[in-house]
Amino acid sequence: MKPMVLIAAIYLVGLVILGWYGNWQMRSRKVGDARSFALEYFLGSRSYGWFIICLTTVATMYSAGTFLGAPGLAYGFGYVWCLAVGFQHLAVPVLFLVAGIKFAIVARKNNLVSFLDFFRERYESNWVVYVGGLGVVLFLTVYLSPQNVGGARLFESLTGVPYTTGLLIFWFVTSAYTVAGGFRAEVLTDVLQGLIMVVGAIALWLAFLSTQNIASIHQAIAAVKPGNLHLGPDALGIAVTGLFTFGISSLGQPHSVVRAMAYRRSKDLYIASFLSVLLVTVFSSTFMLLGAMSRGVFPNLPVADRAIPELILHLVGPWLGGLILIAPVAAIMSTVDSMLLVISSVVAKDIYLHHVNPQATVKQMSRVSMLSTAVISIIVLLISLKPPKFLEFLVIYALGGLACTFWGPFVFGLHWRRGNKYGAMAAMLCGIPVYILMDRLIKTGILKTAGFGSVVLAFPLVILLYVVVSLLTPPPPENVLRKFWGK
Amino acid sequence: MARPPNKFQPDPRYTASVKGTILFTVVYLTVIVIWFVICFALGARPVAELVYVAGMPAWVFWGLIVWPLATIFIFWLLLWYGPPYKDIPLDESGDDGGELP
Repeated sequence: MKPMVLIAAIYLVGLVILGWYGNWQMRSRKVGDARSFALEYFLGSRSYGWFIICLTTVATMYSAGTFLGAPGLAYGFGYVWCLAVGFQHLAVPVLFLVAGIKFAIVARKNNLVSFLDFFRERYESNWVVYVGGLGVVLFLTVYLSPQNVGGARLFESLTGVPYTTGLLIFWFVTSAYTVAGGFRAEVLTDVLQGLIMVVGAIALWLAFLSTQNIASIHQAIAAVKPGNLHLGPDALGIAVTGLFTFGISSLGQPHSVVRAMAYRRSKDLYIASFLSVLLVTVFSSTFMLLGAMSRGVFPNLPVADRAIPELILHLVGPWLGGLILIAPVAAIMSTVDSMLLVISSVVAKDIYLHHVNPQATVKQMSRVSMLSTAVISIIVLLISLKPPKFLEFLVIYALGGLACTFWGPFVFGLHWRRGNKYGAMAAMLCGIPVYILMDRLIKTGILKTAGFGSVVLAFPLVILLYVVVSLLTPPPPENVLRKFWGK
Repeated sequence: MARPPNKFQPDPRYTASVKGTILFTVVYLTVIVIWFVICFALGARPVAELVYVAGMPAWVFWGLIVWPLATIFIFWLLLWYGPPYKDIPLDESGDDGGELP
């Protein structure tokens, strides 16, 4: 048996065990009504300390892009991508400290469980919730399919199992523990996955530095593709796009935002923010730098995404390599599970419990929650069966769409009293179309932007729209003010 | 408009939290400016004119140093500096926040 097959099998079994443990944890807590069940299943009853909340957020926010797509871009186009992706070092503190303690207080006071609960309570408009819900379901599902595909491709290249089988295994394990254990299982598996990501990165660095000569690698790059070494005319555009995409967009991503209301004490938030920067600096710098440098080791790879896997196998051989290569698989899984849960929270909590059956019993609610998680993961599987070509660009696309839709209504809704439902509605309705329009204009060459991505144009436009429309329409009612700013 | 008996009273916990948000935003913008300036000052030039440090392009080397330094700074800011990052009870009852168990 190939070592990788054995390692992957042990890892997958470990995940399933953690999933069952999460399920047991969940069932051993006595919940009185359907709402408490939702709080438990989708948010783990807000009971997490700094260590767990940090690892789950890191594992959730950093995905296939960090390990394969982005290093692939660095391999293909050079160090400029290290500059662009560098903004993700501080992405967790951006999320935690900008939403801040305030978000946690508001969430407890108004009993917010799902991402959309925030919009329902803050804007008191069903339409805002409907449009937001549509955005979550649509864009996260889009985002999930390249994640699944990435996982399956990795499985294929690591273990030699055929692509479709790999996809099915990857999909089945992730869905199984997410459906069974909800947030509890997700967070437990995230901790395992986060630790693997960090340990894998450190091991890779040590292996790289002990076997490679950095100076000669750069001489090799200078001979093959000198443009990779400097910042060309497009660099500013790529860097600013990176700032939006990797740096601040987490505040508009539902699966990240829910983590900012799942911690237990304010101190947990501060410690987790710091720890995340430490961990991300270790593995993000590792993979980006090694992605760029692997150009000097393998001058002509047919698929850029293969840069990191090839490098790992080349450096440390199959056994240790297998252990490290589980890291990107883990990164993908931890993103997939949290998104699955966010989409299913829209279906179970916001549609079923809020509109279909407000009097649901705990048993009904638990059945609907698990069922909707399962159904969504089946839909994602169906979409994933056709793999897209260049991983990272699709990821960037979905992230941008989400961020455009939710960033303004979330951040400004939390901190700006004057923001109202009309502004939120305008931002949400226009966020996605403006983003797609900009994207099309740039991709078809009508708009010349010198490397600036559509997100850079769409983002400020949508926020401006939110502010202007809010100012032109009546302020929010006083009870919103009381709920979000009052005692 | 004014309703004297039941007047709106802001929650003081939010004020502390918003101070933390503003302070972090300033820190974040500063780090980004430093990162941009280092990278572009040393890296936006023809390949032949690049300077190398420890075998890698100088702009990559010095640019990356920013992140460990930022890590240390954030440690100091959040966990040592104290205000406005102090312990704020999250629940109104205060049974979950505040004191360490």
